[in-house]
Amino acid sequence: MARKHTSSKLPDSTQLAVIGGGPGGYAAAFEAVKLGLDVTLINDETPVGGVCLLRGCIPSKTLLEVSELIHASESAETMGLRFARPEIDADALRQWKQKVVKTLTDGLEGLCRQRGVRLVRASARLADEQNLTVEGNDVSGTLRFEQAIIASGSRPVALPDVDIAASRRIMDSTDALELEEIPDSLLVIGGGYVGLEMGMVYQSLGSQVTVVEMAERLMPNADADLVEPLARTLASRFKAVHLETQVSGLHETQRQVRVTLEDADGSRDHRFSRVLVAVGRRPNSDGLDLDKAGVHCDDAGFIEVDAQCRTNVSHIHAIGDVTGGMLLAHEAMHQGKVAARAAAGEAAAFDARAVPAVVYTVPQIAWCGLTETQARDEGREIQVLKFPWQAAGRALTLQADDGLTKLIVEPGSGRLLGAGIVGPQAESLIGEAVLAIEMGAVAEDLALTVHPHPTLTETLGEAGELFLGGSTHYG
Amino acid sequence: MSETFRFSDPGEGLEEAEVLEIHVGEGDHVNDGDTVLTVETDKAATDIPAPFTGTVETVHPGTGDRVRVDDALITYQPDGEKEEEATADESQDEQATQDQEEDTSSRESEDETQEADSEASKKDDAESAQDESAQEDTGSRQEGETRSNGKHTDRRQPVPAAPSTRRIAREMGVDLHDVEPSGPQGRVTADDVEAAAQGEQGAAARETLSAEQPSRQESSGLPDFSRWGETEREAMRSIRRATAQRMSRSWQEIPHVYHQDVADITALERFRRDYEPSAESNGGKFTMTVLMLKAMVYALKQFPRFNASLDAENEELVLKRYFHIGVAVATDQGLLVPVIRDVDRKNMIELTAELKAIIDKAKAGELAREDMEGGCMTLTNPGPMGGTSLSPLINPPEVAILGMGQARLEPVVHGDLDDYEIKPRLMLPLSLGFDHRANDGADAASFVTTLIGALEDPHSLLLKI
Repeated sequence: MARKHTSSKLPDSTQLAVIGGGPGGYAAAFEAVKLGLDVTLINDETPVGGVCLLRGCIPSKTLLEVSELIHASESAETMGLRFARPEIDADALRQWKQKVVKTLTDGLEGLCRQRGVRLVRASARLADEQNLTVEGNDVSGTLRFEQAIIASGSRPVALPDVDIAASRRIMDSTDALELEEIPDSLLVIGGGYVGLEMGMVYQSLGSQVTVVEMAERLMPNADADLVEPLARTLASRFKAVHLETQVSGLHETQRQVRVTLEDADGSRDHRFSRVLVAVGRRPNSDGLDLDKAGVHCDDAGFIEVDAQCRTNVSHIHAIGDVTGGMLLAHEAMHQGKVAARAAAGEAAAFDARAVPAVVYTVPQIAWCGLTETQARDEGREIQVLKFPWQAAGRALTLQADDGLTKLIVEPGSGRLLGAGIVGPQAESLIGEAVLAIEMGAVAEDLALTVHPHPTLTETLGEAGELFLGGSTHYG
Repeated sequence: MSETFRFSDPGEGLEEAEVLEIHVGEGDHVNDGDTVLTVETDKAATDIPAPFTGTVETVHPGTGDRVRVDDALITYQPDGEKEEEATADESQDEQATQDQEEDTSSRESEDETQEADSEASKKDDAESAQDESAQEDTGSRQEGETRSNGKHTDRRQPVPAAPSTRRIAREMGVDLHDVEPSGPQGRVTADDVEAAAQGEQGAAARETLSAEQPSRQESSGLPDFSRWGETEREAMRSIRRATAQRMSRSWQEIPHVYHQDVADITALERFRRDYEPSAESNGGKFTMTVLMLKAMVYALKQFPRFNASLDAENEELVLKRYFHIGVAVATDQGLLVPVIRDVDRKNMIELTAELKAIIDKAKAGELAREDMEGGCMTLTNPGPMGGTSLSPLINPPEVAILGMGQARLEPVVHGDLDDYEIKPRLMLPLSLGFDHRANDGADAASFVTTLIGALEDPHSLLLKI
């Protein structure tokens, strides 16, 4: 355990090769060194951290915090507090974001050194079942491994016939986070969380934002009642939200992008200064030469794994986005630890019952476990307990009376199966529900737990009380 | 329709085994009786034959995995079952499954076939979660968050238990569905899992357990040893685990008593040296162990209650009319005790060859389960490594074990106080461990004295065997 690697020299062989330095990869590497394995973490870009730190969670949340502040200062007027319109210094904002990212990536590299993870900056491909071909500026060669963990992540899906890399005005989420400019008008293609979060950032900074979504509502896989308050906010803040609409043409000119939108009524052309394509992500499984080791993926390119995160080649594991699932950093981190423990011969399995998802819009949306939509699709009998925040004192002080806390429970026992929250602080509130589900709690457990007053956590307790026949402040 | 071959008990009362080798892969065609897996069950490598003829679709366990009875081993497509024979509905389902499309009916049909197996259905769930996402990219154009928690399509609802309890169950190989919950609202606690693992029934037993014995959770709450220096963790693999279980059972159940003495084997050693070449005519090494096996049989014949097993439940001694002796062998994998059958009916040339063969087999890890069954008494000889006194644990269900120390040349006084001489003699320390329920100290003293008598006079040993 006391092994220390400071150089990134490529050894001949390693006990565990981890491909990809995102949250899944580094969590796996840290866990594995803790268990006494010799670990080589191969990351193809200079800072470690992967999409999450460099092009995803962290930079987007840094910008969204600004967005939230702007929204808060606007709504403060109702409380008798008037601010002048904020001046936005885009350069300073970019620098602030970079500073946050750098602090974290530097910290991670420090942890790699301190814990004895050998960090190699290079790309890696499978040469066969036991060897990797490693290619980088400073190191190249073949690395023999006893076991491997593939944590190569995912990247944004492009639209057919659109070369985002060559385009200046058509962006993917990575480009949008660069905040090159604040365009007068922005079209967001895709009404999922990335599109809505980034749309909200640009809107708060001054862009006129339009969203186009193929489905009949925004975020179709989140429960409709959770999305509703967000949809109302967006309707007032965005220029337009086009549902059941497709993009049938994108034409970039020197100064703008001409977009053809097509819905049931026909097609119309619109012009936007910039376009953000946020229609999903695809796995980074194509550059790994998986076939040389005989590792299977499904038709969409996601690597198939079992509960131990083993691929069909049992000494090669895969975790995180490249295996599908929810494509969330926290899921990848947990899978990474499972894979590391399995590689060390421990009986580990990824058996989480509630992986939380959080959307950092204003209001925030968070859910975990079973959703109402999913239960309905599966024909599963459930009872839904909804506690609207109009009945929560703290929510009113926060101007958050359109928030909602709901629990999805098993009829009869009241066993918690899922939870959903919309409103400020949903990101933190969901934690209690996740723990309750993992612990096998019933609604009564939440009801009998003393929650501090006045806080938004009370909404979880009161939702639990609804199962017992009515809460103190509602129903 | 695919069928699933599940692990069943290959020996008596075995619950789990470790997969050593997998002989088939996806797409392989297998005939009934072909070896598909080699597993290690209670120290022995056992080949598992296929009970079917067909094409392998999925091999569920990986090398090194522990499989329990009823775990899915192989999903296969049996021969002679053509698509047309299946109903239209079924074949459609199957097609959908193969195409990995998101389809409720296909998912249900998969669940039905894999219902009883949580591992398999977990994989199934993971796949269907991926299916959803695959479709999403082309379909609803949603972002990653929509690959929602479709992880619980197992028809069997998850058993309410904390993540830490689930981890303990996984490590102990306990299926939570089989555990009687004692927690509020049907929650399974760590103690319930522990009790289930020990086969204990009833809340009373569980209460005693939690009161008197630290639970696994507590005992795994060891101090952080790395505070005092570097440490390493080594998984208890199959043999180590089996030894640990068997020896703690021996220690807990058997009231061990030891009788120790020293045998003068000077003459026996001369005999051994003189006849070494002829005894080794069939191969092997003519060692003191070979001679000891013979002497033990002689003593066992005189004292049949050492060639016995205790049936505590019926309060009976099972006396054996055969003479199979176990020989402890230290191997790289751990301690193994292969059994030499009918020692009374084999001559020393045969025993010399057989002992060598069985030790080689043990060291190569090739012992089968039956090679280690049916011993009457065990002989352990760590003497060559040193030691004058040892306290070996009885190998249950036997009632005695004989340990040999290191033979040393010692000054021995012959004669009486007034008239004596001192001679260098080769002295062998012996330690007989016996189950005091089956024999008493006087029996043990007689047994060892008889044994020593046979060893000290090789000529009489010849007569006796």
